[in-house]
Amino acid sequence: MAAPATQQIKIRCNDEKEFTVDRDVLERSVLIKNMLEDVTEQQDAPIPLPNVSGPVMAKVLEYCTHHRGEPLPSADTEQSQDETRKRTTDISEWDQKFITVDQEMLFEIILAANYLDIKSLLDVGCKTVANMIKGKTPEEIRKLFNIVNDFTPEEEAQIKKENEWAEDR
Amino acid sequence: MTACATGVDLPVEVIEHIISWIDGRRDLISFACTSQAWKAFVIPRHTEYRVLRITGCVDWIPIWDHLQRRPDLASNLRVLHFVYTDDVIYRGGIRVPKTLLGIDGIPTSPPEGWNTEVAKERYEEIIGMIDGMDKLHTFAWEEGWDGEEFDEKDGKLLELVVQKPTLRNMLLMHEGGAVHTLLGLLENRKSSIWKMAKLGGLIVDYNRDLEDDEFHELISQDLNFGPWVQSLSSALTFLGTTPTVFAAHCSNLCLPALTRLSVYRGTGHDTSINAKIETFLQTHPCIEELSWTPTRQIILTANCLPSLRKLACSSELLSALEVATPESNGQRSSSRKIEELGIRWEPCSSATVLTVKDVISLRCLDNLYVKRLRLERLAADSIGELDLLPQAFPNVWHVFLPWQFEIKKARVPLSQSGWAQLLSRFPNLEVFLTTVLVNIEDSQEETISHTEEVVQRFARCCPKLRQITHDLEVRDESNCLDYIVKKVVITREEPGPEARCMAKWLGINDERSRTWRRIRWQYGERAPRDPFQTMPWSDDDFQ
Repeated sequence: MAAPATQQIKIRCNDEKEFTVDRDVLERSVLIKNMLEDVTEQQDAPIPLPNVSGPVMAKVLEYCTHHRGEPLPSADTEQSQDETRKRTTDISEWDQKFITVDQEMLFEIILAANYLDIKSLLDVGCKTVANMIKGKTPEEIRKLFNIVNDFTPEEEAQIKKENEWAEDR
Repeated sequence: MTACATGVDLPVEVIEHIISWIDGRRDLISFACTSQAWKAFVIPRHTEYRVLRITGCVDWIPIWDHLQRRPDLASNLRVLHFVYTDDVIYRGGIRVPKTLLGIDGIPTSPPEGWNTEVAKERYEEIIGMIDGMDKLHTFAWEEGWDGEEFDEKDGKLLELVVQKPTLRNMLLMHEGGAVHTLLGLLENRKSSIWKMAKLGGLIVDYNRDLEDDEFHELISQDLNFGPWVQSLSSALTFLGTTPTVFAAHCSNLCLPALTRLSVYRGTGHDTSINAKIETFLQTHPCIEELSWTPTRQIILTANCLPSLRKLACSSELLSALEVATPESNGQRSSSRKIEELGIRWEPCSSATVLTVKDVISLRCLDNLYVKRLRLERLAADSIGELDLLPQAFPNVWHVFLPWQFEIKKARVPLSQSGWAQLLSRFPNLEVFLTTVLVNIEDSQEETISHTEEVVQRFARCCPKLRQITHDLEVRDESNCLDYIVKKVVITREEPGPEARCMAKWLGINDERSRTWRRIRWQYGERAPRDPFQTMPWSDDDFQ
């Protein structure tokens, strides 16, 4: 017997790009899952996602499709603990490959994951950025994030001095 | 949402989330130094909440109260260390968030009505808080409850910690609590204890004399300790344990990833233990760091330990390495690139104290590779002979020397000018460690002043010197031990001899003074252990 057809949902991004996606894939986003739950009748109009562009959504959907079927965060304590623990493990090989994108796309994926409330994707993105910071000097981090230095040299020296105990004993 | 090419436009909660994934303190500080806004994110909310090192799991209730109110801060802890009170000084001191300390570095008072019984009642809550620390990578437990019987709550605590997938290092020490709990779990065949596949560093240590102890009997039984360690073997890179535990349960193991081995306390009383460790070393050529202090003669085969980089040992082990190093036309032929060499002194050692000439002519290593040197006892024909050390080890930047030397069978302390002269001959010296820097009976103010004077002098004659670590007690008006200066950091206004010094003080309150006096007394017996040689992790980042 053929498996029951999965419900297809349409979404529209801020550049008018539309996607038709299996409901269980989309429901990895807590935001969309809640929106779908709130709709009592089936509606054909696409769900508008004004904070995400087409190319970024394509990447997000690639992630959600790969991870479809995995347990989602739940109010249930035990399951929620499992999810928390899962989140704290290292970045998997597939995720690592997936997140190897240019910096602009990386930040946009993070923003989209935050907006769409996809915790595991947010973790992957944030861990990747944290790894990029590791071992860098303040100046290198400024370049990475395009940050303007608003410290005077004295202020910067003061922070370093106050934290000199970081040096080995 | 417009395209966002830079990190500065990220929402606050996302920046907070990114920072929460940064482990190391140095990286956090670099991040904080980028801008005022990011500094506000990082300091103190992250810099102060990566390591918690306190005495006893249910002590320091104000800290737990605080963490209970702020689970967001608790969840970012990486290292949780319940340190044994007597070992605080070896472990770098208590570490709690500065914001919770009083102005003198003394913890804020416990709440009214607090006592040990109240604390015990709160144990469950504390265990719940530890459960929420989902980034914890290091758990060190050097003390437990009453210590006589397996305690269910202790078992629960250990069980939940070992199930954390983030856990990389675990230290369980002292027979009364933590180790007993581990054995209890193993004895009860708790499945969770077997799931620590990613554990990279493990210390299981207990402190009793093994000859006449019931515990020895207990641990010698089939408690699955060995199979348990073997089950960790794919990731285990560091193993530290006591000689008897090692000989009984670990000597036949094959640990292919093991690069660091520490066998605590001297061995030699039971010669079969030495033999088992010798065999283990022969079959683990990947070992790069070894800490072992046999107190009787041992035998190693030729070219044993070819990968050795760091060695903390007794003169007996050094002698065995010398014998095992083939001589080629009277020249050194060792390819070992030992960068850290520590020669310890065990009171029951059968060997004589090494002389300067012994140390500089070792065949089993190439002196030029040595960067860190630790000599706990040293003999010489004359004070002037000490100058041969810096000549033989010109690349040393980190040195521990005893505060007195054995010159013609007499113990002779160096004068200030003697030290200044000796240290100045190490051209790359950055860190100097010793036990006694100033030996005077002055008042607190005079002692501090005298110490600073000595430090300034050393800083002037060693242009790269940036740190002096030593043990100096300062007494308060009632002659109670009040502070121990552990570390002096030298801050230079400009590179070169002009230096300004800043001292770090480990503060302790009156209640704990008695304990600290005892520590001081112990120092008289034996030089302190180097904590870096005993820990499976380096917490430099967190100091």
